Amino acid sequence: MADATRYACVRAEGLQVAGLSIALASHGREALALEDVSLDIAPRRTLCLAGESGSGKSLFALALAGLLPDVARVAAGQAWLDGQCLLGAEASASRRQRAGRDIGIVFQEPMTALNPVLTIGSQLAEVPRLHGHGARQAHAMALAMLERVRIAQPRSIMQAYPHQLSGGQRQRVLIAMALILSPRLVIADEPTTALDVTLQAEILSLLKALQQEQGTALLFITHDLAVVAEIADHVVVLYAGRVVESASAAELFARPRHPYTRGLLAARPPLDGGGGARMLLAAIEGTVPAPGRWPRGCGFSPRCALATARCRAGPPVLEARGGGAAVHRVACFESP
Amino acid sequence: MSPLPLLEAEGLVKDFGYRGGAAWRGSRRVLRAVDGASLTVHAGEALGIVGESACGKTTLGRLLVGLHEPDAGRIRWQGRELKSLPAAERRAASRQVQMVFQDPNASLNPRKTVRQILEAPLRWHGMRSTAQRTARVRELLACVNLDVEALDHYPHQFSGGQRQRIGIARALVTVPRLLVLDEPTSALDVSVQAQVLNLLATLRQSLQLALVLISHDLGAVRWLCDRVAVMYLGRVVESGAVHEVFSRPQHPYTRALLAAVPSGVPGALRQRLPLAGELQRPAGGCAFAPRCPRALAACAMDSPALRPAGRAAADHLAACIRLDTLDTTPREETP
Repeated sequence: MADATRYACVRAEGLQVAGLSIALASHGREALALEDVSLDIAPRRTLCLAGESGSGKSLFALALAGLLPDVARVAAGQAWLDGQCLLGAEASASRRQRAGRDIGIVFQEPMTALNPVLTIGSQLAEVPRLHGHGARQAHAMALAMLERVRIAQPRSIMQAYPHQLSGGQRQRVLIAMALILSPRLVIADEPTTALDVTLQAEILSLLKALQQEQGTALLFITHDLAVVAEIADHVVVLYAGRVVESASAAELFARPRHPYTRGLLAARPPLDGGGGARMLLAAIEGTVPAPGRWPRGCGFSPRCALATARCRAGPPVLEARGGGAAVHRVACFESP
Repeated sequence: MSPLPLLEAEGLVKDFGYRGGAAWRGSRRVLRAVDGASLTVHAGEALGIVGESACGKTTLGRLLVGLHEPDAGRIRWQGRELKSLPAAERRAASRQVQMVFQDPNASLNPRKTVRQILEAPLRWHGMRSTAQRTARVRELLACVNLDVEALDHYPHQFSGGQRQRIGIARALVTVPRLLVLDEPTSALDVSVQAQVLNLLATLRQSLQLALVLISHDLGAVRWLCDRVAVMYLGRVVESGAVHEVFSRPQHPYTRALLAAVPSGVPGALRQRLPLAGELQRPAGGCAFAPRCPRALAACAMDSPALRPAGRAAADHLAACIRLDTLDTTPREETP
C-alpha cells in the first residue's frame, strides 16, 4: 500500500493521524465524508475537533476506535497510538485488541450508551473482564473507578440500573467506563451536550482532572466553541469533511482566520449588552451542505462573503499563516 | 405598552400522573411540573423563560397556548379569563396565541406539503376561500424568507433551519399577537441559529408581535428579550428586565445559572460557581434549598414568594428569604 510506505515509521507518544479520509456508501455510490485530516495529540494534551452535524467529526472518532459502521470505510491515511498502527491491514488483530484497552470513548447520549437491563456494576466490570481481569478484581476496579469519578454512594450505584440514575450520574458512569483501563487516548464525543449547563462545568473539570492524573491524550469532539475555548490546548475546525483551520486555542480565539470560524464567533449572541435585539446578529447565511453534496471547491464557498471564482473551482490547501512561534494553519485563499 | 397586559398567568399548576417504581407493580404517583407559576406578557414585549431541563418551562409554555389545561390557576387574555369565555370567543383568542416547537423534524407532518401544513390552521379557523388561503400562505413564505416554490415540497426536502422557518410560518398564519417559542434554535446547526434569531427579531418588529422565548441559551434570551423569568422546579424564582436580572442576579439559583455559562475565553476551565447536586425536590420549603450555598434552616420551612429584589427597578422580583443579606453590587460581566 502506498500509504504504508508514505507513513512508514512513527515513533512518538500520543496520537498521530495522517491524511485520514473516510468514504460513506449510499445508494450504491461512494462519497467522501471526511477528507485528508491530519492531527496529533501528545499525552496530557487536549485537542478539540470542532464542527457541526455532518462535518464528519464523529466518523473520525469511530474510525480511530475501529467502530466504523458498515457503510463507511477508511479510504486513505493512517493513525498511530504510541507508535502502533490503528487502521487497515497494518493493524493486526492483537493490536486491535490492544486498541480496545488503549482507547476509551465517552459517548454523547448517556441513556442510549448504557444497557438498560444490566446493573451499572456489571457493565462497568465487563470492561476489565474482557481484557483478562478476574471477576473479583474487575468488580474492585469498577468500584474504585466509580469513586474516582466522584459519584456519591458508589456501592449502591453498582447495584443500580441506568434508569435509576440522573443524567449527570450516567455521564459519570460513562466516563468511568472509558477510563477504567487507564487508556492512552480518551475520545469524548459531545460528552456534555445532553447535560444542563450547571452540570456541564462539573463534568468537564472531572474529565480534565482524570486526564491529568492518568497522563492521557484527550480528543474532545464538540460543536460548542464556548466549551472548546475552555478546555482545548489545540483546536481543529472541520467544515464539510475538511479541516478549515487548525491552531492553538489561545491563537484561534485571539486571531480566528477562516471566514467560517470568524462567522461562528461573530454570530454568537453576547451575554452582555442591552437586550431587546437592538442590533441583528451577524448570521452566516445559507445551510450546511449534506455529505455527498459538497461543492467542488471550498466547502464553505456557497456561504462565504469573501468567496471568488478560485474558491469555487477547487479547495484551498491547509497552510501556515502569520509569523511567530504559534503555528496557525488555514485552508482559505482569501483570509489574512 | 398598553396598561392592560396581553396575557396574564396566575398561580398555574400542572400535574402529570405516572407509575412509579417497576412498571408492572408501580403505584400511581404525581409529578408537579408547574407549581404555582405566574407571569405577565405585555403587547409587543419579548419575555424569556430560562431554567434547566425538567424545570417545567416547556409545560408552562404549553399551558400558555392552551395545549394543556392547568390543574389550578388562571390565564387571562387581555384581562378576560379564558375559561369563562364562550366557545367562539375562546377560539378567537386561541388564534392570537400560537406556538413554535423545538424540533422542526418532529413537529411537521412528513406526509403533507408545506401548502397543506400552512393552510390547515386557516381552514380550522374558518377561511373558506381557496384564493384567500393561497394569498395568505404566499405572504407568509415571504415573511420567513422562503421561496414560493417551497409550497409544493415536503418537510424532508428542507434543511433544519428552513424547516424551523416553516414552523414559524405556520404559527404566524392566523395573525397571532403572541408567539410562544419552545427552544426554537436548539435543534439547529450552530451556524444557522443566528439566522432564525434574526428572523424572530425582525418579525417581532414588523408584526408587533409579543414573544415568549423558552430557552436554556442565556445569550439568546439576553439578546432578544426585554424581560426574563427564571424557573426552578415549576416556579418562577426571579423575574425582571433582562439587563437587570443578568447584571444583578438576586436569587442564588440565577447566580449559579449565569456563572455556569461557558465563558468562551481560552485557557483553563474557568472556576464556575459550584452548584452541589442535581435537581431534586424537597418535601417542603424552598425548592432550591437542598442545592443552595446560602440555605438556612428556615429555607426548609416555607416556600418563599416573589418580592421586590432590586433597588433600582421596581419590577425586579425574586423568591428568596435571604435577599436582604445578598449584596447588590453588579456581578462581573463576562467579556
